[in-house]
Amino acid sequence: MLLDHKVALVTGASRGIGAAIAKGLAQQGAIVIVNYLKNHEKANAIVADITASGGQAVAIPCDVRSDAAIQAMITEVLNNFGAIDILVNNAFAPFVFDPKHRRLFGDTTWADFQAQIDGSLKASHYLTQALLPAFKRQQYGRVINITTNLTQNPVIPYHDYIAAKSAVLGWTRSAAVELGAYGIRVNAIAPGLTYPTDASRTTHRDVREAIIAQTPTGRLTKPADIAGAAVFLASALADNITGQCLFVDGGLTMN
Amino acid sequence: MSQKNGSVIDVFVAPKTFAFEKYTEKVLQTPDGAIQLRYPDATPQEIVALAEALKSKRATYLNQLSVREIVRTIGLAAEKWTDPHYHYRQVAEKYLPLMTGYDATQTTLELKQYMRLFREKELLRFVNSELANTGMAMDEFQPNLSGGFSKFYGPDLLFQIFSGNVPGVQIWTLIMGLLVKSAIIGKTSFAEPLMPVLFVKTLADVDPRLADVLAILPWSSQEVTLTKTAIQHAETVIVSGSEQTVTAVRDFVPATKQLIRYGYKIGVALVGRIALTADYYRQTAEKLVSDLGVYDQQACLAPQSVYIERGGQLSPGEFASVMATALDNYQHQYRQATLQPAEKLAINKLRQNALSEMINNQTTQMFSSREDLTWTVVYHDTPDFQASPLNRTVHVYAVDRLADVPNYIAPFKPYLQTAGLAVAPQALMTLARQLGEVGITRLCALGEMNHVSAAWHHDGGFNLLDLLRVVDIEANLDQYVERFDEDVE
Ligand SMILES: NC(=O)c1ccc[n+]([C@@H]2O[C@H](COP(=O)([O-])OP(=O)(O)OC[C@H]3O[C@@H](n4cnc5c(N)ncnc54)[C@H](OP(=O)(O)O)[C@@H]3O)[C@@H](O)[C@H]2O)c1
Repeated sequence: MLLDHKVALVTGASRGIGAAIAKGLAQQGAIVIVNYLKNHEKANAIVADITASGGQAVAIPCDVRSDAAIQAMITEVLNNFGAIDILVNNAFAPFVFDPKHRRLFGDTTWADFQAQIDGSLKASHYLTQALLPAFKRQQYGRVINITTNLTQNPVIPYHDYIAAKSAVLGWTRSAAVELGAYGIRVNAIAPGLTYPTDASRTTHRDVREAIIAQTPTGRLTKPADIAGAAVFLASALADNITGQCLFVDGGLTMN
Repeated sequence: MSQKNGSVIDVFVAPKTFAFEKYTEKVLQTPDGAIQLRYPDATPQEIVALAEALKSKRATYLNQLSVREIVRTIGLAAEKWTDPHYHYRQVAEKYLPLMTGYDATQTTLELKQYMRLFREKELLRFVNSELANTGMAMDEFQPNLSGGFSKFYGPDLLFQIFSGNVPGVQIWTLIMGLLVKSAIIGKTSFAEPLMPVLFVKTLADVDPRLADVLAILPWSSQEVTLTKTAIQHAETVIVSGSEQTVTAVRDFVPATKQLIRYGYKIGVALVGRIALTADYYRQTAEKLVSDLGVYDQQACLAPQSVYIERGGQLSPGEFASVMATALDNYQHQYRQATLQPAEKLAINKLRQNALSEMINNQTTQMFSSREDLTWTVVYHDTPDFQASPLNRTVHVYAVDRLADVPNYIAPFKPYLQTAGLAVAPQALMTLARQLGEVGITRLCALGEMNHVSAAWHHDGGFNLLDLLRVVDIEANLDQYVERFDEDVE
């Protein structure tokens, strides 16, 4: 399989896109760490799902906004599994994609930006940093950051969210430049509206239909679509790909 | 190049007028099919006859030429090799990779750079680095400082035993011999019997009479009688090769005869913290990797142990990881030569030793191409020295200060040769002095370890001077003969 003997850590994998990615990686032979914040049952259900289909997974709670918590989780995983080869930065600060009730520009405070930055950029940075010594030693590492296609075309202007995700994209590129020398690849996946997840359930039919109407493939993105892209970027098939952002949105974004 | 049936190659060259009784062939299996190497099945009597023929041709021609004229001829020959369409260059580019197993692109690149060392201007510089006035003292007696005159004489016949580790390496000593006006019998190794032959053929294109003082042919080292015969008739013997080869030949050379040995040598690389800054570390790693990659460390010039100074922006361990990635990338560009079973065994053994060292010492790390043996980096936290089984295999040691490195390599003094450096300008002279003290004879820029300059002193000796003897006319003789000038009153 594509990911035999690899250990993958997927943040925010108890639900939605993260859960699909965890399953996808496990299906290709990776041992998966299902990280989550508080939803024990859901996380355990994902683990059970994976084990039932012959895969290997464990659930580990950790608030990825906390540097100290990240350190503790990484130490624990490294002690138990010896290595982490693949890191998928999927968790993000709580946010609902609700076009009707989105926060207007004038109402968006610095605290809103800070919350989004902490949940994405900061978490990705500290997680990657915590893994860096191990990545360098094993001369191998795959970092996959989940951003959004809204950075390219903010169809719905979620200011704080889009700014934070754009920051992750810049970070992806600059990290890729430096870390390539250690055999580390850093890429991003930019999903389009991925439906259904808890975060996207509030994107109502009118907006969904409007997006579908403009999408070349004529449908919304499913969590499994993102999982496919993640498997590809995590695997040896993508060995010479780094600093890239793969748009998985049915062709809505072209660049 | 006389090539019959497309795959028969003559790997010998002798004066036009000289014919051997019998020829034989050796079949070489290559990825592109079999190649037949044709060469004389020489007898000791033929070697004697060859030696005499070469000596007499030397006396009547080469010895009459000035060094300046010889330089011009060699320069013209080298110039031919700068043309990508030159027939012999194309033959070399095609067959050398097949014969040696080295990467074809790399061989072409290296050969290009190497042959340019022998351009006329480079040779002039080279001769002047050892002998003033373009070696005029080899042409005529020159006034010397003590009031008399001196002239240099080269050997009438040089017997050269060539190594086959690196394509074209033989041409260096071949040219040295010509510059001191010696006829040469060159015994090649079957590992690389082609390049010197091609070069002599080029010389023949430029000046057939000059080429006529040269004979190149391979024979097996088992054929001791041939070797002994050649030694007996030569004035000076130059042997390049492994420790074994050099020792074996030494035993055949009588004490009264001059023997110059180029044996097993070890290189090291020293990387200072100054070269591990954010803007330089990557470039530093790439340079080091090219020193390891070019001809798979088979040239004695390449590093076997590498010392990385602590305190840089990257730790020595991090640098080892960057180096490892660069080695992996290098393999994508220039693949390693096919390994012989013994070479595979040596690398596997080194990897096993590293693994067991890792069990006892958490700080030791091994980076390696996992699926094959194309490259291996063993990182050690405490400094030492270890020779490498070569073929892109290297020990990396962390050191607190580069100034300590001489201590670690000092025990290997007889074998030390090149040090590739990436250090601060202020540190260069002191470090050079210390490294010279412990036996290093060549200091060069990191990334250039495999590329000697035209004026290098091979293993710390003189290339030309070591081949020469000096004849003095003392001042008293000069004055004394003046007495017999009948016109003086
Ligand atoms: N859905 C979309 O339409 C869409 C479109 C583009 C991009 N994305 C991106 O895809 C990613 C996942 O979105 P989703 O819709 O799948 O989200 P989701 O269904 O809301 O799931 C969020 C996940 O993140 C975890 N989480 C939240 N805060 C955390 C923290 N501080 N520490 C650790 N884990 C935390 C949650 O764990 P608990 O279960 O324990 O709360 C849950 O597993 C996000 O990065 C999002 O920006 C989504």
